Amino acid sequence: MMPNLTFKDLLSMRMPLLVLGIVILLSASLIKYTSSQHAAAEVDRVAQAGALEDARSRFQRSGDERELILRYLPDYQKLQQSGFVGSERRIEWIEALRASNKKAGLFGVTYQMDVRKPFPLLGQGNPIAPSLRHSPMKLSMGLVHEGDLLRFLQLLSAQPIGIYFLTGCTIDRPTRADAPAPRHANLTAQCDMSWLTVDTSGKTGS
Amino acid sequence: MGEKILVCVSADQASAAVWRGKRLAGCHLFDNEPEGWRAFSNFLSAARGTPVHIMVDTVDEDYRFETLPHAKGGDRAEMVARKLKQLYRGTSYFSYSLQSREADKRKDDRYLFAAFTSPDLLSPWLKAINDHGLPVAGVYSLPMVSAVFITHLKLKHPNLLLVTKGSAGVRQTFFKNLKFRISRLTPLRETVDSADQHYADEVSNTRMYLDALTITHVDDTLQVVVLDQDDSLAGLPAAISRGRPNMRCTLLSRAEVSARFAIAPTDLDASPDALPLHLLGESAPQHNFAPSQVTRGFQRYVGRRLVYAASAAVLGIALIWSGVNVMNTMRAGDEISSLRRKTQEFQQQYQQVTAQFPQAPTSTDNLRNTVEIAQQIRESMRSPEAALLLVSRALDASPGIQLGRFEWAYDRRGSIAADAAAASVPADGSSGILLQRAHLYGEVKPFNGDFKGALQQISAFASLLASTASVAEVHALRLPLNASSETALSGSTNTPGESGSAEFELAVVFKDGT
Repeated sequence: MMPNLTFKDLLSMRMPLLVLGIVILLSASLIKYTSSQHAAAEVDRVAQAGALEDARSRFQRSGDERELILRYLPDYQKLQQSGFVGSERRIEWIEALRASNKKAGLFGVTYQMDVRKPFPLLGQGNPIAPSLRHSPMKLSMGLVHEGDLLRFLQLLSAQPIGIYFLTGCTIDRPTRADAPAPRHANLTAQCDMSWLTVDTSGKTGS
Repeated sequence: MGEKILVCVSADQASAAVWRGKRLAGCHLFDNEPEGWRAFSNFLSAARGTPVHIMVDTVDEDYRFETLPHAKGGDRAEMVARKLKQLYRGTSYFSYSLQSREADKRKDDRYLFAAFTSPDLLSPWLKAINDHGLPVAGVYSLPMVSAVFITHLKLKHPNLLLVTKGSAGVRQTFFKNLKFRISRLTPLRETVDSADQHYADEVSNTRMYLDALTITHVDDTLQVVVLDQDDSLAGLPAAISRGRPNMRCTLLSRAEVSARFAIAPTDLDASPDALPLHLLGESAPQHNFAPSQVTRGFQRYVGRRLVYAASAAVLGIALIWSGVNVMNTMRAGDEISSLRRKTQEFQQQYQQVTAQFPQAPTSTDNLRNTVEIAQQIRESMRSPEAALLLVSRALDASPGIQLGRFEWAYDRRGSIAADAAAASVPADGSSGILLQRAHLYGEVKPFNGDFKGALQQISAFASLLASTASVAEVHALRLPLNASSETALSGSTNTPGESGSAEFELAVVFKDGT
């Protein structure tokens, strides 16, 4: 249409091209702004639709919820009372060790407890699992014979002081006497256990 | 394009008018002399950037038909350019159009070449236009503009002669089969009485000229249409028809012209060239005589208009797009409000229902999940009792075996064989299944150096362990004597009874679920 463009031709197009550029910029900005507003509104709409669906579903399931509360609340309250739910009860655990040692007639139990941390061994698939914590504890004790260890553990389990999970025990015979001596620590035992709690503070450990 | 300036240039004067809203807005006459040029310049000063269409009504014109070999594209353009240069050396105002193809075997192309042979006629008017920086859209010949009469008046006669009267004179334009052939301009006659006869004679001369060129046959009927825009040619049809049986004449009076062409009578009064100017305003003819350097400004003008049109289109699209976005946003907003209201209704209903529930310290899900995980833990708990019982029974049946150390573990490690590749098991034990394992450190006692017998006792002890239903596998990790070909072996056969002990290590893995 316009062969051999000259400087004068380009000069005459300066203003129209400037206007075109400004219009393009304005148009792009306008479209971008309104599109982003629309996109944000869409996101809100989808979120609100989800919230409505949740609220409707929750309302419709309220009958089931009541049943669940009636079914699980007593057990939950027992777990709360035992110390499984909530903060640790280390003093009570140590008191329980002492009492079990006394009842089992052992020669004393030494313990070493580590800091509380997430417990990965159990709970896979359960939504509460990230809140499951354990405080690892190492026990050392002298035994007359192997049965003392089992009795000590049974006595410990019988006390309402939470849940512990035994992960290992070692029994050593320090001397090579053919027959065990009565009232004498013929064996030494070491056990690894975890005191389990569910942290309800809302913090999830890593 | 909306507004434009229309100029009709003849030898003595120029008529100029502004075309606005599909009609002439004032028509002015300017003499072809310095005073007229200045007045024309003043007239143009009111226009700003308006394109100018120029129509020329002059005797210094040339129309000729030429036959050229059939060609297309660049070849045709080159051939026609060569022909134009050959025909019109003295002017740059020329044009051409392909009319038809010959019917013979060669099927040559038939062209109409046209030119203004005296371009100086335009110079003062173009100078004034250029001085005001107005773009010249084109330069056209009045006969070419007149071709529009045919469609306006729906004329269909094969031999048609249009007679019009303008400022330059009486123009006769002949159309053969509705296509332009020739045009003649006769100067105006001063005396009104003899004018009709004079113009009739000119028409008669034209007829003879057409017959001579064999464009028409002497027996053909020539249809003459007289456009009498100022009612000054009322006597012409009678003068033409008188004694000329092969010519029929029709006259359109001023009122008829005004009605047929939708042109105001006042416009017709303003200038003798008002009618062709009106037609030029409606549509420009195909033949544009202006060289490219004259229309350069108009090309820029069109380019600017296109860019502005593109800007308007972009803005329009953006506004529509944004409008749709705004509409959708508002619709989404309304929907959000509605959803929020419904959500609140459900929440209120839920709160009313749950107000009657027993007080729970946490959510229902947490209640259930906590109780379930506690159950899972209790079901998974193990003590070393089963392993001790198993070992105790095996020891009762193996008096030569004495244990020095008993290890029991309950974790997610795999089998003994898999423990060899323990690196593949995560240290946190988060994969695999929970299994009980026992590690027994013992010796054969008494040992008198009889390795074979000791190995038999150990093997029997291991078999006893393995025979229990709850045991998955038993592996000897260490034996008193390793007789494998894969390891080196050393020792002494002297005083075998005092040579040491027959110690061993066994690993016991319990089955899953025990």
